[in-house]
Amino acid sequence: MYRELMRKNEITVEDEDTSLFMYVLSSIYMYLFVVVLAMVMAIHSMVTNWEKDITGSITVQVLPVEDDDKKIDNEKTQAEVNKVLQYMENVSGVKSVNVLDAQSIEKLMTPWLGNKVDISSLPIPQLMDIQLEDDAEINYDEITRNLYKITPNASIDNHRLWLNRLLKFANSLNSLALAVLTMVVVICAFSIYYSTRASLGINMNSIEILHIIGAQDDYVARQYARSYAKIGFFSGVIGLMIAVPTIILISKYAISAGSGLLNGAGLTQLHWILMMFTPVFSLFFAKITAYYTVRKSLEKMC
Amino acid sequence: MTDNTTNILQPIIDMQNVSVGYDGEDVLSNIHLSLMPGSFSFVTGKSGAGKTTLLSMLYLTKRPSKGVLNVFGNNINFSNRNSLALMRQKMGVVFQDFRLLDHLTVYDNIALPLRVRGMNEKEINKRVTELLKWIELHKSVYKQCSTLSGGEKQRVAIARAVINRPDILFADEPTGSVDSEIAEKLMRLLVELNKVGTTIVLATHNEQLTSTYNYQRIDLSNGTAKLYPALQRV
Repeated sequence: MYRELMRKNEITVEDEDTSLFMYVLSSIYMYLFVVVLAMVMAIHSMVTNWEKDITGSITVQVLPVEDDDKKIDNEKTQAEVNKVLQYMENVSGVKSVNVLDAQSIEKLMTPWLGNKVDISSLPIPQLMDIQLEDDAEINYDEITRNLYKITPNASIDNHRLWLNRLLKFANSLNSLALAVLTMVVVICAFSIYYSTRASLGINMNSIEILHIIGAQDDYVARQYARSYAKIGFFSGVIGLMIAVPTIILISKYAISAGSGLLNGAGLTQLHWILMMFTPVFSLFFAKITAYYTVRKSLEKMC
Repeated sequence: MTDNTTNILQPIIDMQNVSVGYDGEDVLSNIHLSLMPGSFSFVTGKSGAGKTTLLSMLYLTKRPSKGVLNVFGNNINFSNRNSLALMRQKMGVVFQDFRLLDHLTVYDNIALPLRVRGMNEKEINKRVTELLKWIELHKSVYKQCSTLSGGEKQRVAIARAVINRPDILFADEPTGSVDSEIAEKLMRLLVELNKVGTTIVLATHNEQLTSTYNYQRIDLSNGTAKLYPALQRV
């Protein structure tokens, strides 16, 4: 048992200065990997939440009716709102209709107008938040036509148009993050490749001895794979340990920035579990890359 | 029965018109030689005659530039890297400069050929412990090889070469860097191994050694090899 524990690799990858360099470099790569991975997952989560929130509801707005003096006629406006409300409550697939009160509308407008503006003097439309039943099949064109018949001041917003634009932007962002993630992985693979090749050169004498005593390329490659698996695992752990506070910090910053759009961008428990597996991924990635680099290099070199 | 007889008579190494060299230039050419299982052969010649080149071809780290080399009945021109490695597992090699892995312990150096063959650690431990006692290094088991004396390194190198009970053992100037007492012990050891059936090929320029021990001699000169049989004792 003691001998097993004390046993050193025949190939001394871990004793070289290059190994320290590899630990530092790989830790940085793994840090970047985890942060970008978190970003990808957060964007995905955000997009899913947007879709979930929005597909289950529509908004109807009724513009204020003006009198001959171009002033808002609250009575007429309220009468039109009531007619629209009555119609919408009877549309098949509608679960509930909620007319937003002045306070709610003010809250919605605050990010654009600030706290100090008296919105009662402004021609703000009346808004209805309409919740749909699950799997409701809504004929938006028919509703639009009927609403127009009730009052030309009423219009429907099923959020699709602006959501599509937003989704396009979010998906572009996600693609970009995925490209960065791929780049990190590719650079990491190249680093392992070149460092393994350099180490093969340094250890050529030991490798020759191993070959003379009958070692197959697989035996030598496994030695490298073992060393690089260790580097991969510990770099993954270090990278993860630095990345987690960074992610928490970014999340806190996003929340404190108060941007409603980012509210759905949180990481789920599954995301955190996936991130915790980074050292394992890193272990296998480094191991496999080193193994095949050695196999291919030995075939060419000897 | 016929098969067994054929196997016994089959040379362990057979060279037909073999040439070998470096960078397209032959050091040795047109060699015709056969070594029978259980034989003991000296490879002699002046410095630079090609002793190490011949040996490295025989222990399969160099391929012949021309001709046919059969080792254990396999034509190495048609053998892939894995088959060559498997053939090397049936060989033992002792170098003049020992070529130990200095960062490893005595134990791990000796265990190396067995680990390469994938033997389990229990069996390895048994064999290495036996051999350590035989070479009288059982007290230095955890010593790193870089800290050993020349004689001790030589013994470790021999132990490493014989631990897998090789069919053939190559020794390249094994007495070159040890004193005469150790050289004598080493020769006695090689003779003992030969008596139990191991084929020995020993390269040396030590004429005293070749005259003391009466074995066949492969003499290398002028880029070719000539076999001189052992003298018949009266």
